[in-house]
Amino acid sequence: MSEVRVVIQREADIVLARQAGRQLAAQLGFSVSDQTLIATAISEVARNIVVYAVHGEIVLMRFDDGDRIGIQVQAVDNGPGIDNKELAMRDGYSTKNSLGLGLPGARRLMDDFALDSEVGRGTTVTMKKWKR
Amino acid sequence: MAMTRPDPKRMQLEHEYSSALRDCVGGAGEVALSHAYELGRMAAGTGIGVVELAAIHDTALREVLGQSAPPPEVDQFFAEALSPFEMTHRGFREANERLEAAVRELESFSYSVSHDLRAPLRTISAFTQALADDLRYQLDDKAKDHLRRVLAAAARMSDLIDALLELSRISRQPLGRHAVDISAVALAAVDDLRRRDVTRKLGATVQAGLVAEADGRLVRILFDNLIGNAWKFTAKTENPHVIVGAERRDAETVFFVRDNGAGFDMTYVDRLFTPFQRLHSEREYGGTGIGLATVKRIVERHGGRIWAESAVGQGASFYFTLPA
Repeated sequence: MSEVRVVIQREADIVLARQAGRQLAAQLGFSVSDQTLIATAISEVARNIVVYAVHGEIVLMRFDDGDRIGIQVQAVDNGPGIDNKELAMRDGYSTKNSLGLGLPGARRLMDDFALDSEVGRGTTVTMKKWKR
Repeated sequence: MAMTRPDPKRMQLEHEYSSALRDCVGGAGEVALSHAYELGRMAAGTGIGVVELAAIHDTALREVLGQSAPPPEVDQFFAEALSPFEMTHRGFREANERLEAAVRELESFSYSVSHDLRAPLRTISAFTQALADDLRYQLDDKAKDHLRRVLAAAARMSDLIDALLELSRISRQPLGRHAVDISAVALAAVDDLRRRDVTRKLGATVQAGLVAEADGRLVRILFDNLIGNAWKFTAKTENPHVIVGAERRDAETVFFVRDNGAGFDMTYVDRLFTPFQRLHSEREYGGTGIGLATVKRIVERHGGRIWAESAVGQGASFYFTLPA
């Protein structure tokens, strides 16, 4: 299955990842408001790469498990990794006074969310949103 | 004199919002949309709300477009700025659900504890009474007094448990809604009190024709407690009197129950509706200390508010709303 990869190094790259995500979501038939939510979730994980890992990639692909189709968004980096994953998923942990932003916020905009990380090796966030 | 200084974060946001919107109208595409998201995120993270953001959007629209009709991408721009609030909104909703589940769990815990305390308490009462009967010729007055105190404490504990069970039942039971004749309920509550203690007098003035869309059973408990309070705190008043009525305030009906009793010090008004918090000593006025907590719970279950006004020796007024 074809996938779209966007290298993330600078803030400006986040725009490209959003655009690619929005395009794929539109092709898959997501509504305009779902496209906005997907773009926002992409921003949150891409932002994490820029802030914490400096270098990484957003990998976008169509997702089909036989039952449902949708979009899969992966944020992959070889950065420092996350020591305490539970803490990273807690509201307002890295971003004070902003309940719901960051990784927990991205999780709530999507239908499926997995965080895989190892200290010293990097982080992979895999998110999916089904088409309804 | 207090001056409201413009918030620098808000000013920066206004400024950036206008310039990003200008880029958007100029065809900047995803760059502008991404900028809108960043600005919305900044707003959500610094306590600027959706309403304020909408005002900023309107101001920017006038600034950028003047009188000309906004192109469709302007709506998309605003949607992107709002989307971070969708994250915080869902976050609050989740936190709220967790909180509600915790409250439900606490309530059911409190219910089972209260319920389970009843049986051993009944045993204590029954056997203390048996002991007092069996030994009535053997015990001296001091010992008899001790047993009497045990029985009185057990009776009081039983009242407390009943009040706690009622409080938790009020929180758990589904709320019915139908037209309730508030005037009739208030009069029935007064009659009940008069019948229970014929040695006392309480004058009552109840405004006719008071109605509310409410749960009749709960409203009766509410008036039993509020008028019961008036009854209790006018015990030392000459010509004790209670007035029940309603007034229109800002398009809502505010009911009130007013007495000319002991009143209370407004310094402690915050404690008034908290369970087991009493503003008068138990020796002086009796009661479980749960009555007003029960009243507040009933009002809140109807989506209403309750507050009180008083001064020591000047009587007390309780106000509440029961929105339809």
